[in-house]
Amino acid sequence: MIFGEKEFNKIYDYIKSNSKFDKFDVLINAFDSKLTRFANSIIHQNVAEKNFSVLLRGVKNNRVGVASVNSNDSAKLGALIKNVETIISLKKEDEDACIVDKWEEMPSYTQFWNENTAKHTPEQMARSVDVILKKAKSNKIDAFGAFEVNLSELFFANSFGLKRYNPVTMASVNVTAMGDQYTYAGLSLGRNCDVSKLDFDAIGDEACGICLRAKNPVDVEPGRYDVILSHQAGEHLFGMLSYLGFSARSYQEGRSFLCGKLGTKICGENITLWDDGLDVNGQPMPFDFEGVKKEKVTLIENGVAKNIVYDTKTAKKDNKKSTGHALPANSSYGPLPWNLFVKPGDKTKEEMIKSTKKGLLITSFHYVNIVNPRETTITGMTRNGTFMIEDGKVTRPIKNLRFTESICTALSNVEALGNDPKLMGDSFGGTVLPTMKIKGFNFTSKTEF
Amino acid sequence: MKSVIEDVFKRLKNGGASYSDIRIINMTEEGVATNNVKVDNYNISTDEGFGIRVFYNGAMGFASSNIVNENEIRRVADFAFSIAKASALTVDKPAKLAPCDPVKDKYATHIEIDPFKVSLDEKLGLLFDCEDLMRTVKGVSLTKGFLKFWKTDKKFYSSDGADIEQTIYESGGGIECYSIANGDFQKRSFPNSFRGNYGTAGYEYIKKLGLKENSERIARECAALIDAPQMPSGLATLIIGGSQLGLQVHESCGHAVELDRVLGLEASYAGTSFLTLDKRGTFKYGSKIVNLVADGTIPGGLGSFKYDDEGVPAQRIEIVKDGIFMNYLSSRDTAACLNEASNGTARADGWARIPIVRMTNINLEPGEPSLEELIADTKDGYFIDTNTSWSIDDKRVNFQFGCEIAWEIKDGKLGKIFKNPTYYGITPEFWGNCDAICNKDHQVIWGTPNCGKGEPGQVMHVAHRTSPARFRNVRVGVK
Repeated sequence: MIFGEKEFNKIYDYIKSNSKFDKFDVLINAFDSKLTRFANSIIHQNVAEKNFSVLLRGVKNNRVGVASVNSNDSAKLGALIKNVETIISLKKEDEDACIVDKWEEMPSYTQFWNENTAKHTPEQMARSVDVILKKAKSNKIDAFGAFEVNLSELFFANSFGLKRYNPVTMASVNVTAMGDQYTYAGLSLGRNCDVSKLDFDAIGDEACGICLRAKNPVDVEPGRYDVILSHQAGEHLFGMLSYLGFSARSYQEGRSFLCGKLGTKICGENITLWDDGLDVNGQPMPFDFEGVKKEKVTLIENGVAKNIVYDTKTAKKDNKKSTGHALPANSSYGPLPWNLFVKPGDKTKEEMIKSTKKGLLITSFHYVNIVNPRETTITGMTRNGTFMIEDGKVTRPIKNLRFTESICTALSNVEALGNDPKLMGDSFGGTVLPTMKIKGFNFTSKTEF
Repeated sequence: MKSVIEDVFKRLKNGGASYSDIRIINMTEEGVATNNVKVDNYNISTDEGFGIRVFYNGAMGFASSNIVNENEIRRVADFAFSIAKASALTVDKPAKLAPCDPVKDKYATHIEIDPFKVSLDEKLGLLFDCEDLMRTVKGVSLTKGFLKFWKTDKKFYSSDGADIEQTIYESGGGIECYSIANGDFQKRSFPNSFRGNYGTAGYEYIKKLGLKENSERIARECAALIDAPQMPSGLATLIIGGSQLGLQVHESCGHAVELDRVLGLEASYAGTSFLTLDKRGTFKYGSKIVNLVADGTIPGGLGSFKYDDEGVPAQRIEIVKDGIFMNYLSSRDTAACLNEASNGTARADGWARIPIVRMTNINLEPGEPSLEELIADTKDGYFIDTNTSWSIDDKRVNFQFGCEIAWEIKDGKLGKIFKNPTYYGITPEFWGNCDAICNKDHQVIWGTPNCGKGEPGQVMHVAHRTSPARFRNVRVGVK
C-alpha cells in the first residue's frame, strides 16, 4: 500500500476528535505514480509523484463547508477544520447537507490491487520501454509515448460511522510510432491493473505495423463514409455521450440531451451501454466520493435510454436513491457515470473490413469536442493511421480528416460490433468497448498530412 | 532548509549529476460557485509540496512529494537520481541545458485588494446581484456565477546557485445564463465562457470585470437565441470578438510555436507543429498586419511572472512579425537543441510536475480602426463571439470553433442574431485573410486557466491580449 488504511483512520480520528460539526465526511485520495515518457526513441521525461488530499465536508446548523489540504500534519489538519468552520460561519441560508446516514455494507475490494504493479521500479519501466524503442529503431522509425504505473488509495469515512477503503493499481502504456519527421504514424495502447499483463512486444509491433502501413498517405475528399472505429476512436463517442446526457444534475437543470427522451429510442437496437464500478474488467471503483456503493446502472438498453445516474443531492430532489456516482464535494458538476461498458458483438475486425465496399479504417480520433450538446454533435480529427477500405480490403493510407457528427446519429447507424472488448480510459474513468462499424459517418474537412 | 538543499545538491553532484534543481510550492485556492441565486459550492484548498529535477549523463529524472521536510527532501532527491539513471539507459544522444545565469531575487504580483481578505458576503453578494439581474429577463431559467482566487508561493533553487522566491496572485470570475425551451437550450456567458476571465491581480480585478453591468444584456441575448435561426453555411466575412480571437490565437499560434512540439517531444500526446524549423524567418504565417508576441512581462496577464520555473526571466518575444513566422517558445533543454538561450517559457503545473514549454501571454498587436468603424466598413458578414467549442489537429492546421452568438452584418450595421455559429479554417490561410485588427482601445487580456498539455497532464494558466479582427472568406455554419 502507499500510506495504508491505518494512516487514513488516524486522520479521520483527528478530525473527529478536534471538530464540533453536527456531521461531516472525509475523503482521502492518495496516489503514488511513476511515468516514463519517450520521444524520438529515447526516454526524455521520467517522473514520479507521491501525494494525497484530504477533503473535509462539515455541516453545522444546516450550513455546509468544504475545504481540502494535502497533509496529515496535525497543525494543517487543525487549519483545515478551522477553514471549514469559517466557511460555515459565513453561510446565511440552509443547504442540502447530504451526508450519507444509511448505507449498504460491502466487502473490502482488494482484488483491484496488484503487487507486480505496486513493486514496479523506474529501471523495470525503462527496460520495458526499451523493448519498444528497439522495435522502432529496427524499423527505421521512431517511438513516442508514455508508460505509467499508478497506485492509488481512496478512503472515505463519515461521522455516522460509514467507512470505505479501496486500493487500486493501474498500468498503462501508449505508443505512437512515427516516420519521416512525424509525417505518418501508428498507435497502440495497453491498460491493465496487472503490469505483467502488458505485452510490450505486441504493443510495439502493432504501433510500428500501423505506422509503416500509413506511409505516403493520399488525399481524399470529405463526405460520408462507412467507418470502422478502433477502440480509441469509439471511446470518444460513449465518453462524450455519458457526459452530455446521463447526469441527474444536467437532466434536472434541463441541459441534458436526454430531457424528454428517457424511455425512448435514442440509437440503434444493437447498442447497450451500462456503468459498473465493480467489474474488474473495467476501471473499478466500488464506491463513489460520498461513500455510496456503486450500482450497476443500465444507461441504454437495445437503443432505448433507460436511466440516469445520481448522487445523494440529485437523488433527494427526484425522491430516488443515489446510484453511487457522486463527484467530490468540492465539485459542482453533479454525478457522472465513468465506468462504462458497451455490449460487444460477434464480428472480428477482419470480417468488418471484408464486408466494406468503400470505407475508412480509423486508428484514433484527436481533440474531440462538443459542437451542439442538445444534438450530441461533436467534432474531431483522425490521427495515427487512417486507411481507405475498398472492396473488402485495406488498400491505402489517407490524409487526416475532420468529422462533425451527432453521436446519436452515429450510434443509430452501427452496422456491426466487434467481439473484441478492450479497456480504454485515463486516470479518472474507463470504457470497455469493442471495435465498431458505422455507416455514413460525416467528415466535413481535410488536412494536408 | 536551504542548508539541506545545498547538501543534497552537493551529494548529487558528487554522484555524477550534472545539474539539479528544486521547487517548493505552497498554493491556496478559493472557489465560489452560485446557481439560481444559491450557493452551489464554496471551498478552500491548500496544496504544498516539492519536486526535484536531476540530470545525469544527459538524461533527466524527477520525483516529488507532498511531505516537505529535510528527510523527505533527501529521500526524493535520491529517488529522482535513480530515475535519471534509469532514463540514461536509453539515451544515445545526451540532452543539454542552455546556459542560464543563476539569479537571486524575490517577486510578488502587484495587488490592490487581497482576494482572500474579502468577505464571502461581498463575493456572494456580487454573484447573487448578477443572477437577480439575469433572472429579470423572461425566458432565462438557469443562472450561474463563479469566482476563483489563487495565491501561489514558489521557491526555486538550483545547483548553479539560483535562489528565487515568487508570490503570484490570480483572480477571476464570470456569470452564465441559460434559456431552455422548445427542446433546445442556449447559453450566454460574460466576460467569457468557461467561468469568466482571469488575471494575475487581486480582488480589484473582479470589481473591474463589469459583471453587474452586463448581466441583463447577456440574459436578453440568451432569451433571444432560443428563437434565433441557425447560422447558414457558406463562405463569409467574419469579425471575431476578442475573447474568441484569444482562443483562436491560443490554438492556432500559441501551441504551434512551442519548440518542444516542433522537436517531437509532445508528438504522442498533444502533437507536433506545422511550423517546422525550416519555416523560421521566412514562412508567411498571416497577412502583413498580423503581429503576434509572447510577453510574460505585461502587468495583469494570467501568463505573467518574473521568472519561469527554470529560473529564466520572463521576456517579450516576437512570434510573428508583419505576417512572417519568427520565433518559438522555448525551455532550457529545447533551446539548447538550436544552440540558443531559453526565452523563459518553461512552466510547471505545481510542485509535482516538471517545467515544460508553455504559453505566457500570446498577444495579437492592435491595428487602427475602432470596432464601430470596422463594422461600418463591412458590407456583408457576421460578428461572432464567446467560445463554446474548439478543436484543432495535432499539427495545428485544421481548426473548427463554435461560439455562443453571431450577429449578421449588413451594409455596415449589426442585424439579426444566429445561434450555434461555427467556423473552420486552415491556419496560414485564415491568418492570411486577416485584413483589419481593431485598435488598442478594444484590447482585453483574456485569461485561459485551463490549458492542458503533457503527460502526466498539466493545466496551465495563460493569456491572450486581443482586440476584435476581421477575416475574409471564412467557411461558416459547418455541416
